Order: sequence, then structure tokens, then C-alpha cells
Amino acid sequence: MLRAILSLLAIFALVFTPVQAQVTSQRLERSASEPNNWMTYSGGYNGQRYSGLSQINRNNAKKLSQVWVVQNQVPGAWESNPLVVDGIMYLTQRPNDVMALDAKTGRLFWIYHWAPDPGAQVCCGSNNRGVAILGNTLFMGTLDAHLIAIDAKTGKALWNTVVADLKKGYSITMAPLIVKDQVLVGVGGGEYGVRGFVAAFDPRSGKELWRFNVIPGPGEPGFETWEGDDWKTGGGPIWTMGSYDPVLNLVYWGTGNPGPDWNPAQRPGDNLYTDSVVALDPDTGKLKWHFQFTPNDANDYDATQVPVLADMDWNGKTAKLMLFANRNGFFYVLDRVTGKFLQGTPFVKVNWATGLDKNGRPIKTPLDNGTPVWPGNQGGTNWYPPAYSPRTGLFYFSVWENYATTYHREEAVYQPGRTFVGGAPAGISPAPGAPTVSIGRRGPIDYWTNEVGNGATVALDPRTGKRAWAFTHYDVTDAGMMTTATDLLFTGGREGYFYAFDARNGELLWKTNLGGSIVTAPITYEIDGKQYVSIIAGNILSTFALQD
Amino acid sequence: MDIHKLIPIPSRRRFTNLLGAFALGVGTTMAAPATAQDHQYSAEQIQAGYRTYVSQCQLCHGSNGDGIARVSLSRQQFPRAVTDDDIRMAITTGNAAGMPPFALKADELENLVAFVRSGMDRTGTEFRLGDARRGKAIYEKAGCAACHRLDGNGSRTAPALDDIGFIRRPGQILTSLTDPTKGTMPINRSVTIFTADGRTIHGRRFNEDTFSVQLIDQQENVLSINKSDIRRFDVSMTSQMPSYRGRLSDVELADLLAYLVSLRGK
Ligand code: HEC
Ligand code: HEC
Repeated sequence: MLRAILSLLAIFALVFTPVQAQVTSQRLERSASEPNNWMTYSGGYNGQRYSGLSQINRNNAKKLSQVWVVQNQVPGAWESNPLVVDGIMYLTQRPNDVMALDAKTGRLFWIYHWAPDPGAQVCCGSNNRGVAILGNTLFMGTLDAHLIAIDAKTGKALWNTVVADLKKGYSITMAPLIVKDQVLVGVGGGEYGVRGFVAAFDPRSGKELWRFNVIPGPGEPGFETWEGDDWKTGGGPIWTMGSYDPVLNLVYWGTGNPGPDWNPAQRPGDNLYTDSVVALDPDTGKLKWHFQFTPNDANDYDATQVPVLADMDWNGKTAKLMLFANRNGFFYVLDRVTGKFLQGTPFVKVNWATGLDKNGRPIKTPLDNGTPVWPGNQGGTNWYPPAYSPRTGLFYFSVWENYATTYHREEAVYQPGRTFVGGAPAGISPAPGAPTVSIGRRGPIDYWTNEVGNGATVALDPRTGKRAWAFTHYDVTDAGMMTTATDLLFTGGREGYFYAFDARNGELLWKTNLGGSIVTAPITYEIDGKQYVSIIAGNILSTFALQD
Repeated sequence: MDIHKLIPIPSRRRFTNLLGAFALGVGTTMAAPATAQDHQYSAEQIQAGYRTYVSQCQLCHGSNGDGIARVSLSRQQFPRAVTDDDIRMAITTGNAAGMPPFALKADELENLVAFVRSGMDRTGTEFRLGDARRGKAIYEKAGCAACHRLDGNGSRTAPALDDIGFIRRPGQILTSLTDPTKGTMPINRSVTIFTADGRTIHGRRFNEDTFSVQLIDQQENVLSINKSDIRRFDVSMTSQMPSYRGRLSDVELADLLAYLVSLRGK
């Protein structure tokens, strides 16, 4: 009898469940036309983290309430950026687990475990920032620098390929990016003297299709910006998400710091293409243009932001722009067709450079060893994803203000797979002479205080580089952004608050405390006519919707 | 490099059972072998030790001294070593877990010990450790308990000192004794809050965020105050703690410091 009912149900299901469509490259390119899904890391190839959903608006945001929560079972920062496709959420947890769950209830379909080789080296924690999806396949990079393809319906691995040698300090923490039926992924290891790269893989076989080395080799343009063998350990990892312009057929990546991090004297020259943004042909991996933000970097100013692509008015004409808030304290506007520098303005106190010249090259200030450097080691901003709203025309990001670092610089000795940093941040330097305190992730107790820096959620007008509005946090913030067609801006901070602001003027519309630091960006999606907003805070992923 | 890069300053109370056991061994009840004799660590030694550390030890132990499981050189957390001699021995003989023996010149070895004992203090604040047992008597005589709580005794208006040797480096603790304003941790500054409804609260913060502050006032009331109820919020940049430079002799300061360094929580 029971069996009969079950098979009846099965027939019922066959008849009435719509077939789940495949996630094709075309669908990814047109992601703006299906705002119910969040199919790529940034919610779209342009890196805007702008959603067309409009159920939650400025008037009803105060009625947001928690719908479900998932608790993470592993300690450490949870930086994963979930995807939601046709009602199913895919996310990762430390070190390399993938979960598929019902985005309406938070209940799990399956979990995939990968135990990375214990020899994997990561400077800054066993982080993973999420998966990419193409067809019915998920892709994850791992701490031990593998790329794994997983069946999105069963959670079983389809293939597993080695991207780089973990013994040389390579790792993968970023989510892959699907471009034109290829899986693109970059490597971390900027603190281990790696030679950074981004590579494309065949989604069916895992075969490498092309590779772009951030550090040019002998004979390649840019090689002349290195001396001797320095290029071999030159760093330039690619460890955060890129963006893609299907019309221009260009994929853009920010590149990481040169090695060794804090001793520029050990690697004279501009050190191309570290701390740059590179525009690549996605079919070949060939470099089309580059722009270097921080030549011969002394302060670990990786260009780690997601490049934000916006078409907006520039001097009276609609222009294809790239907006880039850099760790080095400057906000840049580039022509994304050519890479031409259009404008650059400091968004926090900067003392390592007095400004930028007409080509956007920093005019550096020589600073004695032991002099506090503004912005400090974590930068004016960092990898936390920004957002841009085509409606408000404003750029939103997390900023660390009033924050500097002093450094010890020394000769670094290269040994494969060992840290190669050339010194260390000696301390955070707030009030002169005050004892320095850790910038490491703190618990629920803030023993730092705002004396040593504070956070701000900033809305910048890209045309002027000036702040349209800012919300000052007492603690610093590593939270990403998400904005909607109803002019809401969602973000959080280390204090554990999750906020909804009026994106136009910064009015605080709603907040809730989730009890753990928010170190990732919110996403939004819709199922059965209901809009959801998800955010990770501490060890929970929490999903909100309007109260019925 | 990303946000999780650590800088070697202890955060509060994150010690393991292992350390707990260790703390008992050298804690308040027994005279710590490491401090039974007088040790002077100069700025030159500590800084030279840092250079040797970078070239010889950092590869494994990391720039924060926590690169090897069960060992934290910045917090003096060792699987076996207790005394300076033990540290010297550990360096010259190596160990089965993978540390090679080092053939260093005598002064290089001394400098390394100084650097490790300083909690890897790259600023090289010089300090001297005397006798912890005598230091305990000085603590009791000097009237520290008028402001500080320790082992369940004394006032709570100043920070409790039960684990001060674990959360701060010897050089920093010494600075707190001799030049308190320079040594103050930002969170420990005295605050005065004037509320909108006319109250004035003097106290010391436990915690603060964008919307509220948690503190203990001078009557030892534990309070949480919403910032929206605050009319004026003053943070004093001068420590209320008297300087003991001159009040205590160098020998007494060394003994007191040895005692404070041995306080590692229970
Ligand atoms: C090749 C890696 C390596 C290098 C280089 C190295 N160590 Fe170690 N060290 C270790 C390991 C492994 C342990 C043991 C951990 C254990 O016993 O669990 C250790 C333990 C120690 C201990 C604790 C000893 C004990 O018995 O409690 C000290 C102190 C120490 N190291 C200091 C140093 C100093 C100073 C240097 C530089 C001169 C150094 N180490 C270089 C790997 C290394
Ligand atoms: C009049 C009150 C007072 C007396 C007496 C006093 N202290 Fe303090 N002490 C403070 C206050 C207030 C602070 C917090 C502000 C600071 O760190 O300067 C402090 C801070 C400290 C700190 C740093 C604590 C930390 O967590 O960073 C140490 C160590 C310390 N005192 C030790 C002592 C010792 C040892 C004595 C006795 C010899 C003593 N104090 C006597 C008021 C006092």
C-alpha cells in the first residue's frame, strides 16, 4: 500500500516537477534577466552585486525576519559566497566541503568532503570562498591547489586535477569563474614566493586549456621590470574573483602582492604584473592590457578587489568603465576597453604616496623604517566584495579608516614552500606610543577599540571620488556588499550586525545582531514569489525574508 | 595577503589544557624554576636574537612563533622547556619531532634565548626577571590590590591580573609598571560617561561597539549603556595607575616582573 502511494507520488512528481534547466554559459551571461537566482560569485559577470529583485524595499525592510539558519561545524572564518540556482543553494565550508541545501528551508541535500593534503600552506587561514556552476557541475578549488568537478545533483566528484604544486606554497581559496564553457581559477601563495597565475580548464575533462603567468618570463614584455632571478619568486597570486565583459570579450583580474611582501629593496623594478589589474582574452589567456596600481610595492597592497564593470556617463559620454577601490588607499576609474587611467582619488588617509600622476602612477613618499604607513597592512579596503548600483550611480565598499602599520623589513631567503615575506608588520600604530594590538580576528570582545582604526561602510560617487555618504563602525569591517533595485544596501561588520541601508543616503533602515563577525558578502534570491537575503556571520549562515 | 594574517600579540584567554598544566607548574603557587635566578635581557640581545631567529628559526616557527603545533614562542608555550637552560638545550640538541640541532656561537644562543623570553618583542624592550617568590611579597606589600584583583582578592576597578603573563609580553608589563600611560592597552583606558538623563559614570570598559558599551564602574557595578543614551563620552589618555619607577628599586621591579610574568591563568 505504502509502496503504491510512493510510486503514485513518483509519477506525480514526474508529471508536475518542471525540469531543472542546465546552467549554460549563455544563462550566466544573461544572469540579470533571472534575478531569482544568484549564479555566480558576484551575482553577475560585471562584479556589481546588484540584484533586480524588489520585494524587499525601503518601506518594509524593517519587517525582515530570520527564516532559517545553518550552523557550520568547523571553526575559523567562514568566507564562502553561496550560489543559488533554481531553489538550491551551493556553498562551501572549511577547509574544502561543498554543501547543497534547500534554499527555502536550509535542509541539506548532500555534502561533499575533500580532505586537503596536510602539507598545504596558506598564509591566512584555511579559507574557501565558494564554488562555480556550469551545466550540472560544480567546481571548487582546494587548499592543496586541486580543482574538483562535482555532480551538482549527487555531490559526487567527477574529476579532480592538480592545478599547482602545494610544496611550492600554491593553494586555492577563491571560487572559480566560468567563462565561455571554461573554468577559470587563480592561485594563492603570495607569501611563499610563488609565481602567480590564472588558468582555464575544460569543464568536462579538467584539462588545462591556457595559463596566464602574472610574472612574465624571459623574453616576455614586462620581464624588464625584474632584476636577475627575482621574477622566479615574484609572487603576484590571483586569489580573488575576476569579472568578465562578454561584449568586449575580456576577462579582468586583480593581482596580488610581489614576493617578498615587505622588502621591495630585494626586488628592484616595477615588478609587473603584481598589484595590477590585467585584461585577458578568455579564449587564449593572452594579455590585452594591464594597469599597475602599486609598482615595487612595499606594503602588501594586493589588488584584490573584484573589478567592478559599469557603463556610465563620463564627461558627457557613456563610457565602459572599471571601478576599482584598491587596498593601497586609492579609488581608480579606468577605461576598461583600453586600460587607460581616467581618475584616481584617495578614499582614506594615504602617506606612502602624495598622489597619482596623470597616468595613475603613484608619486611615492620615501618613508623611514618604523614610520607608520597609512593605510595599514590590511589596506584601505581588501578582498571583501564591493557593489555598484546603476540606479544610484554609487559604489559601495568596506573601508578601514585611521589605521596604519609599522613594518620591519629584512632580507628574505627563498626555500620552496616556506614563507618568503621579507619582514613583518611590527604593529598597528594608533595613538603615538600606545601598545600595539593584534589585527587578527577577535572574539566577541573588542579589546582593540577604535583608537587603532575603525571601519566604515562607504558610498562613493565614482565621478568625483568623493563620499556620497558613510556609516562609521566602531570596529573595523571585512563585510562585502549587495544592493538591489529597490535601493537597499545590505552589509555587515565585525561586530556581528547585519544592516539594511537606504543606498541613496545611508539611512539605517534595519539591523540585527547575528553574534559573529560578518566577513563575507550577502546574496539575494527568490523562490515561489518570496525574496530571501542570506548572510554568513561567525559560524552561521542566516537567511531572511519579510514576515508574512 | 589577506585579513587573517596574525600579528603576535596575545589575545585574551585562549589557552589550551596543555598550557593550563604548564601554568600550574610555574604559576603562583610554586617558585618558577625559570625565574629562580636573575636574568637580564638587553635591547641589543633581543634585537640581535630577532635577526638570528629570522634567518634560522622563522622557516619553521613562523613570523609569529606559532608555526609549529604545541609551540608558541611568543607566549612561552613549550612542550618541554621550562628554564632558559632548557631553551638553550632545545636549540643545541634539536628534537625528534624535526627540529635540527643548531651549532651557534655562545652569544648568538644567548640572544636567541633573550628574544624568545621577550615573547618575540621586535621592539626590544629590555627587561630583567628576578625572583617570582619575592615578587609575590612585593605585590602584596606595594598595595596593588587597592586597584587590581588577583586570585579572588582586591579591587576590580583596574584590570584583573590573573593571566597577565599570558596576554602581554614581559616588556609590555614592565612598561605598565614604570610608565603606565605608555603601557596602557586601549581598552583599559578610564572612561567617563555623561548620560542624557544626567548620570555620570566613571569606569573601565570591557567591550564596545557601534551601539553600546559594557563597563565596570568604580563601585564595581557591571553596566551596559546604549550610545544613544550618552550625552558625552570621554576617554582618558592618562593612566590612573601610579608609576613604580623610583618607588620600587630595580631589584624589586625585577622580582615583581618575574611574578607577573608567571601569572598565566588557571
Ligand atoms: C626544521 C624546523 C625547525 C627549525 C628550523 C627550528 N625548530 Fe624549533 N621546533 C621544531 C619542532 C618540530 C619542535 C618540536 C615540537 C614538539 O616537540 O612537539 C620545535 C620545538 C622548539 C622549542 C620547544 C622545545 C621544547 O623541548 O619544549 C623551542 C624553544 C624551539 N623549537 C626554538 C627554536 C629556535 C630558537 C630555533 C632557531 C634556532 C628553532 N626552534 C628552529 C622545529 C624547528
Ligand atoms: C591606583 C590604582 C592602581 C594601583 C595602586 C596599581 N594599579 Fe596597575 N593599573 C591600574 C589601572 C587603572 C590600570 C589600567 C590602565 C593601564 O593599563 O594603564 C592598570 C594597569 C596595570 C597593568 C596592565 C594591565 C593590562 O591588562 O594591560 C599591570 C601589569 C599593572 N597595572 C600592575 C600593577 C601592579 C603590579 C601594581 C602594584 C605594584 C599596580 N598595578 C598598582 C591601576 C592601579
